[in-house]
Amino acid sequence: MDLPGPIHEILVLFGGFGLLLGGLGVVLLTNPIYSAFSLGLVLVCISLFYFLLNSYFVAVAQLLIYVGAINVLIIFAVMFVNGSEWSKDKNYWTIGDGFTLLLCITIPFSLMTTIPDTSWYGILWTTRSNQIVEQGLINNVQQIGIHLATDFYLPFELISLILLVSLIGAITMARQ
Amino acid sequence: MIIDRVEVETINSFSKLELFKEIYGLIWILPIFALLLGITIEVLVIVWLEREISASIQQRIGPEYAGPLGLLQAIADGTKLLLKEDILPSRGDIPLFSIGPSIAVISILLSFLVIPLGYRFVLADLSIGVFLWIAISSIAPIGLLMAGYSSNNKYSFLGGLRAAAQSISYEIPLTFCVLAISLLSNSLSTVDIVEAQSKYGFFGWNLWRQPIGFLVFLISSLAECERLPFDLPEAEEELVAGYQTEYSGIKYGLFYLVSYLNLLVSSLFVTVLYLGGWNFSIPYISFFGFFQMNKIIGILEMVIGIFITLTKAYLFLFISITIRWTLPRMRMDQLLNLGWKFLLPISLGNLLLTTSFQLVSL
Repeated sequence: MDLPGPIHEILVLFGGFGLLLGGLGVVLLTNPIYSAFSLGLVLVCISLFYFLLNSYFVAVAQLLIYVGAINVLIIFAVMFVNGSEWSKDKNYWTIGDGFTLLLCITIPFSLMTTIPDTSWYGILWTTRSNQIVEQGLINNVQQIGIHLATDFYLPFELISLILLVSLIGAITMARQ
Repeated sequence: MIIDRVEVETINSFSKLELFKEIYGLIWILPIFALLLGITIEVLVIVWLEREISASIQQRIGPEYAGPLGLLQAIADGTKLLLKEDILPSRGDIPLFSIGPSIAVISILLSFLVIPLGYRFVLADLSIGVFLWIAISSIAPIGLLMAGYSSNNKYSFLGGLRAAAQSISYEIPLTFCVLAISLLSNSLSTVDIVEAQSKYGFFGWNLWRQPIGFLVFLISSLAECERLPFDLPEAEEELVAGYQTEYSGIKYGLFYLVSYLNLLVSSLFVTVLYLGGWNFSIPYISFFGFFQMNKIIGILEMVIGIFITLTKAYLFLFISITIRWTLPRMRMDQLLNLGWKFLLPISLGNLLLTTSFQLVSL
């Protein structure tokens, strides 16, 4: 989107703030219905980022699939759970919680340190032709990513059928 | 690489002055307000039209005291709702209760972003215009679910669930119809879709190339709007008023606004997708031939384009208002059967036919 600088920055800040607030809300709120709605906020904010990065199709697909379908289904399911019994029991701070918190905080920090170090410009070559890619990128992880996105694209997508098969299996087992 | 990026940024910042940028930012907001004002006026007109048409169908007089011909009746209604007390249910979920209506309104208002009212007269000519409308209209049920849940009332809850189920199930045939149209015009952008119909005037409309699609789109857009043959979520005899039962004052007014905004959006989209948008409907007479000759003529053409679009949209609105006051309500199982067992296969078949014709013609 060709926005003037200050407005673009304000929108990025707004989206990031919404993303953080929503993410914290999903984890910290005790009422599951609030968590479900703040998950919706997170997904909308992510699609706002895609809009700002000029990839409209991904943004709209994100809105349609994640907010319009998945989040509505989650809210549907959570609504039938009785809210009061969840919010009554106070959560006690255990060692396990502390350990999980530590682990979860280290993951974003390690991601934040690796993202600036990675050379993202090398990945631009994937869109042009396959030959340059093979020579230019020696890294194993990059090779896997390129092969998944080019040669093995169809098998990679077909793997998602497993989800469908397991869903159908669950339904038939529940019916019997 | 970091150095490169910094250099590019400095070049960019030198190319435009900061002051110019700020002024440009302010101008950029103006069309949005203009569009909002236009939409508000259009909604007021629809409310008046609905009152007048329903009165004439039921052989009443309708509004006549507020202004000439009762034209100010809608404004009087709005003021009344604004001044009424905002009652909150004592055991309800107050934050969600307040957010619900605003989510519904915002999600409908966003879809006005991609509607072209005149020749190139559109707020954002995105390459995925129609797709954005579909995605955004799938967010609206979240607001309705929120309203239904937070009212802490069985009728509201059932109404919210019905609204979500209805809009999800009618979204699918609607999307297939839009897909067929975008196959015919090779684009998802609303401007390109209208341009593709501009050749033969009246005979170039997508209505003639997609008659089945048009009917399916008509039915499912009525269902998306929750208008009377399909107004199950707010069925008075069964659910009091559905998800709006506990609302009063301006929050109820927002739901009222949502229903009319939804009607306006879908009639404008019928105009854009099937009725040729801003193009004049008599073939071989074009207002846009001598474009760029004169600035005044350009503005005149734009006004004519907006006028044509709105005329077509209001003709369609007349049909849907008449349908509301003639047909009885369906049952819930009939509604879902119609959606899943009738409209979905037909729209899929329509899409298949369109695709195969496109393949043959290639």
